[in-house]
Amino acid sequence: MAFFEQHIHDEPKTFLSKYIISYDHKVIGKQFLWYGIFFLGVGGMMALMIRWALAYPGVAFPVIGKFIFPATQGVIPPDTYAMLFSMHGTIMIFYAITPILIGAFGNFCIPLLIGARDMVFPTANMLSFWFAVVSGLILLISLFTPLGAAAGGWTSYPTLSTMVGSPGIGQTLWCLALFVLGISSTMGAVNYITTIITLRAPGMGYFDMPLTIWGLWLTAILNAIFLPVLGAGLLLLIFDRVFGTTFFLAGAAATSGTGDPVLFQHVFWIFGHPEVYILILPAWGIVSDLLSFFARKPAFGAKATALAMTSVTVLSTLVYGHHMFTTQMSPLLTQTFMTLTMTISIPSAIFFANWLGTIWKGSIQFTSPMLFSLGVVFVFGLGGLTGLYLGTVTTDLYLHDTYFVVGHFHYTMAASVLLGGFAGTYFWMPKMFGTMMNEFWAKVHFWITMIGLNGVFMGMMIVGFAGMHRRIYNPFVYEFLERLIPLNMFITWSAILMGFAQIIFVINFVHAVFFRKEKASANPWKVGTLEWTIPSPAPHYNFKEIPVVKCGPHEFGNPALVGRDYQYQTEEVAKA
Amino acid sequence: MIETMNTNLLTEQNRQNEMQKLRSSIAMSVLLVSFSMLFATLILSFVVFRLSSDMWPPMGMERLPLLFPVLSTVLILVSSLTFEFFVGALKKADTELARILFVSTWVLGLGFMATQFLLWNQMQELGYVLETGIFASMIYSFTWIHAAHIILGLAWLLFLIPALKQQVSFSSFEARILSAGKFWHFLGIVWVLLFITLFVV
Repeated sequence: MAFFEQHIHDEPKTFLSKYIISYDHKVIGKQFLWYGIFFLGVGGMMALMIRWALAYPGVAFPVIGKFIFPATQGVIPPDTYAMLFSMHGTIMIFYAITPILIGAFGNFCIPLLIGARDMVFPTANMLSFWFAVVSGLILLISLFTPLGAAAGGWTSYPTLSTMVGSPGIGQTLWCLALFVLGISSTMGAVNYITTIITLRAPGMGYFDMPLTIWGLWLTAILNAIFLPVLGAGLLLLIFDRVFGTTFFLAGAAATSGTGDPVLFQHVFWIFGHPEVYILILPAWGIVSDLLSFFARKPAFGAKATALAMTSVTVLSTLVYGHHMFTTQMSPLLTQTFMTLTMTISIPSAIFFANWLGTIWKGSIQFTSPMLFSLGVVFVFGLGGLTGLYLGTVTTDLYLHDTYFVVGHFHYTMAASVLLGGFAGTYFWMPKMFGTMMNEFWAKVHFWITMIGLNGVFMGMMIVGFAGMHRRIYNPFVYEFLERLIPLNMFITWSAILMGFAQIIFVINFVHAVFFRKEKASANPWKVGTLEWTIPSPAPHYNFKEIPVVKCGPHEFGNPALVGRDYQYQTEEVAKA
Repeated sequence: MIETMNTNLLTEQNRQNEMQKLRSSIAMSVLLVSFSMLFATLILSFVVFRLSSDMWPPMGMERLPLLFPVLSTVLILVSSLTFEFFVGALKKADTELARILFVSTWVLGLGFMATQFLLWNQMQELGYVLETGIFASMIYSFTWIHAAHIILGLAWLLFLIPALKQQVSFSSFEARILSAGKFWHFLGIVWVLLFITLFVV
């Protein structure tokens, strides 16, 4: 598809046009980054409260507990506990990971890495951020409503999420917030897809794109197709709650007529399973690139990696039923969904093997982005393998709704994605803000996070395997779970450790953005993709001259190169 | 010299227009996939309820009179036709005719909204309110969601008014016109599907 010149807005002069109502994809990316980091903090605090309640049931939450829960002298009450885990899931998935991986890196990277001057629709891009802000505000306001925020879990299954289960306005606001966020993400997705198709620099074929762009592109496609499905489900749920319809109410719960609560589960997971890949695909892309960059080797089977990610994208749309094995689904269907789910292992194994092939015999540089990328390889391996137990009907019937599930999905979509996000942040920091983050503290941050998160999520899988159910306020009222209290305390202290490690990151980040004096060079990591051919931080127009691409993104270690081991994508492949 | 420069400028302008057309057609296709999934989910829920009921309409309800739904269908289909004629008239630079056809497209859209209101009124008179069970709930909520998109579509059409000025080149507005047209036709198709599922089947 041919490239065309874009109309570029003038460089903004006022504070308002430069930082608030900005059309510049780089500024919008940074706005999303701050937005995501803020919600990461909020969601993280909620996680610590949940963990505290599970390790020390009936004990006041330390330090701030007395101010937040004065009625119970600091002890987290049961209804608040339900609210906390619902909002923790919602915030982390939709308001922390999505903005950071898709909003921040999507906006920042796509034009820079494909050699464009901006997104194809800058106005839609700006609106997409402000819709996300409106949505975030609605969600935060819902925390302060009389009966509290949504408490039906992040999945909000009816009947819990209808007026029967949660009569407060919080759940309605939750639906509304997610609907508005869906509009924001759809706008972003349309923009990303069109930009990648029409604005690739001359000479850049699809397989010359960095794999980061592949990941973001596939994510955008899934977003555009499946977010509206959730949107429709939410609209019907809002109708049930506000206008008294009975789409999702059945039996005695419905005053008249009869709906179907399981219908919502279908609609939710038709969206929800692709959503898992929406979150992880950008991280896969970033990791595929970074492993090659810091092993100083071409990405092993880059084309196969891209195609494997594409097949995962296609397959991800066909497997949602494995979330619903316990809904009295016909055995014919459960087995179909099980087989399709298992099929995903094949493309996943292909790109996973490619990752290992990339670092095999590489001259690995253990910089902070590389450490985090290797962390993703480790935790995603664990998360992916434990998924097999949940995708198999026979084992899932036992493990369903236990902490094993919680551990599994945290490994895949929390740990992998979080580490991938940190890798990207450390890596693109010089291009985003013009300064490097402190390498030493970045590595400290990595190791503490890694130890903490494995303690948390591995522990969760163990207690889950022992039978501990998720979403229970005090599971230890059951005799057979009493012996799990010490293990739960271990998990909680691992979580606290991991939480404190993030303070290191925030200080390092804020220091690098606002206080660091020395500027980063144009290409501190010695990498050849297009964003490193321009100064750091990236100037207003990105590229003075639109670059012409002559080789792939991973040309490392070519023996014909003199004095360096990388070459820019704008250079012909070196020949001896 | 000046002539070659002019032709160069002209071809450059053409190229830009072509690219703009390409860009909007890709973006519109993606957007329409999104909107289709929204309505497809609604129709999926209809199918689930329809197949799991022993009889339809359920609970001894009666089918609605078809007068207003049929009127709506006719109006929205004719408005799609007039839109196509409007594009043709603009291509031939017949501004007068284009104006008439554009206004009739818009008025037919309003007419569609009017028949929807009449339908809702009629339903209320027959005792079908939102809470009277799944049959009435679906008709109300699906038509409401569709009507909200019609309002969006009518607003979108207003952005074509600048193309109605005299001496405007069609090609500079082509991308905008085609996008608005795709959305308008899409809403017509969705209505036909809703008409078949909600009122006929």
